[in-house]
Amino acid sequence: MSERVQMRAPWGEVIEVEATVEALSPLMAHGWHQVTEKEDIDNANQDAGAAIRSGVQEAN
Amino acid sequence: MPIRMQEQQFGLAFRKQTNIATANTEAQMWRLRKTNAQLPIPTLQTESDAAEYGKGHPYAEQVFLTAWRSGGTLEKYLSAEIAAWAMAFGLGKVVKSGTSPNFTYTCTPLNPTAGDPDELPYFTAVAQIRPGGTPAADYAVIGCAVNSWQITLGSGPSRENSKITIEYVGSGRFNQPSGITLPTTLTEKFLSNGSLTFSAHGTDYIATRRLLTLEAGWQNNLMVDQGYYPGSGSQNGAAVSGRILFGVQAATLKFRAMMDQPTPEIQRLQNQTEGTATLTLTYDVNNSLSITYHRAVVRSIEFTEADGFAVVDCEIEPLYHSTNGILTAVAKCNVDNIGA
Repeated sequence: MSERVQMRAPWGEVIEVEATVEALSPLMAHGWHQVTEKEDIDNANQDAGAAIRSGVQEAN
Repeated sequence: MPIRMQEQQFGLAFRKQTNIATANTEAQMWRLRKTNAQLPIPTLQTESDAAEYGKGHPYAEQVFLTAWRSGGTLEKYLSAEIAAWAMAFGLGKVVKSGTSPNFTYTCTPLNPTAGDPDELPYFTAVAQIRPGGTPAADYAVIGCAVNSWQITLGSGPSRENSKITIEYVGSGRFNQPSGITLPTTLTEKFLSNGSLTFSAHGTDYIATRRLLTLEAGWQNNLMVDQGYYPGSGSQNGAAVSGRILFGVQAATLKFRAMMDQPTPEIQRLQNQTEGTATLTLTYDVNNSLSITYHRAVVRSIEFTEADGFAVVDCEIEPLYHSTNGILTAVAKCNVDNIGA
């Protein structure tokens, strides 16, 4: 059985699929990309940044 | 003192740059064997004022620096590692799965219509001759992108019969000296012509033992001059490229096979029969390359002779498949983070 990978749609939806040509080709051909560890960290940083910014606004 | 070209060292980053202007780090470099002598040493483009008016004569009085150009051609015997690299950087979209020693890279062309970038991943190439101290040459060529790759398989017992040619173009940016000490030469797993499996339109060309040669290629048609836009950047008084967009991309697939009774390619050309085509080269279970063309037709055939035998040259036209795209490449090797 193939390993499973997480794929993100252009509109943000994340699904998990088998890493096979049959499963990945239709997704990759239509703008889906792999959710990587780095992307998760970037998203987390953005979330944290947003939280800090809202906090600053409240203080003002 | 004369310098022999075999003294050269060639390095290629296996990870992508963070942007076109930032070089890869030393830890992200391979040192590679190659079969062509050419090195990607940047060239400086100049123009004279010969054609300009006002000087009182039609001759040149001054030469102006205009732009840096870089890039080159890499010719190698085909290995699992360079195959994975070519698919990742040449097609642009990568999904990695697996773990050591079986990293699997599923690669497809970028599709800007579906929201993908219109620039391929950039990488750094290193060209060195007698590096360190006072080197003959020591350049890190920054912001390179793959213009094309071509896999060529022939008949014969030598490595010459399984090769890859990669053309790449640089942004013109460079570091001199490179600041990079290349690692020891990469140990590669050779994908021999004898390991090929190839089927098209339901015909197994290996089982019938008809196949003589096969060429598979990808062309990005990079729009190089378009990258020298206002504000693209400059280095040492000459312009450098700020982006390398890809143009109209195209896949190519052609082969030479012995004629058969009947030769099925004739009917397929006349009927424009659609089908899939798949080629696979294997070193072992952990090192291989497989390319699937999801929708293919015969574009042309030509009858000729080779070594006294009747043969047919067949050109396949890979077509766009509305669900799966034009092609999918799966490359396996034991190097992590290729194209990442």
